[in-house]
Amino acid sequence: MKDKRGNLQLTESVLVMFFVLVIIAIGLVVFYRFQLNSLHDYENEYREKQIMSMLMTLPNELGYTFMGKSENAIDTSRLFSFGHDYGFKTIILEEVYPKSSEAVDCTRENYPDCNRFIVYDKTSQRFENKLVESRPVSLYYPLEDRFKAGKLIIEWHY
Amino acid sequence: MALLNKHLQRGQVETIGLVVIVILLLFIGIFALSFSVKDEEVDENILTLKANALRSSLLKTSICNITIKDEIGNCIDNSPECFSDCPQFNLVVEGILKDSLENEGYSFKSGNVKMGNCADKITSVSDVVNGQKIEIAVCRR
Repeated sequence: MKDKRGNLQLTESVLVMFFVLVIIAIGLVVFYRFQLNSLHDYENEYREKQIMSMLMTLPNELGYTFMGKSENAIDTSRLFSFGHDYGFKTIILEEVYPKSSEAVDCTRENYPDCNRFIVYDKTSQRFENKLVESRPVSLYYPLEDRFKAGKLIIEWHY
Repeated sequence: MALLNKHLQRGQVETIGLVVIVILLLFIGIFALSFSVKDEEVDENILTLKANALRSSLLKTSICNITIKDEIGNCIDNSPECFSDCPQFNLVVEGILKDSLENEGYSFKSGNVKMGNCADKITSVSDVVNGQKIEIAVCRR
């Protein structure tokens, strides 16, 4: 009788220890997932802030000035000599108005009879994701002395 | 009888232990849920940038020999220079506003002319043409 009671209590203790271990394991897994998600969130937040900073500063780097005064527009003639390294990104300037049915990529040969500037393009096969942000810009064509409505698009490959 | 009481007491202690474990599990679950369900925050700075950039880009755009800002002024006097009538010009303005933004909504107001609609918006610095205010806004959501 005493042996049976002892066995029962031993089994009880083993079961309780097992369930406690399971609960601890679940807690560890939840904590690990939470930490991983936090890291991913920080990474995404950093990328968004960087891309926002680029959207703010890039038009000034390529800006058109008249008599020393900034005209708040991008000088399209300067886009062919863009030599910075921005990492794995694609920077595109698209004309929005006048609107064209077909996208024509700009080169030195067909400028200004084109409507899309691929200002910077560096990608890699290993990146599957991309973060895309854009903002409206004014595009200045010095040969025609005209401003056209455009869009600056930055794609960050990661 | 004493033995029965002893068994009952042990059973109660074990039940309390089980209840404590269940409560612990509940807290872990609530903790995990509260951090996994987060509202997407709209970055106010980027929307303000887009609103101001949209206003600047739209008003500066050249059409025939003048700018869109000049043509808006002409339409206030109902005498457009580059278009046969002002509704046709308004369509062009609407097209520029729509194509300049990616997924955001917009709102444009100049006198009686109103385009787009926002429940909650960020308005750019306003412009004045022929005594009339031009307001361009990007929707928060």
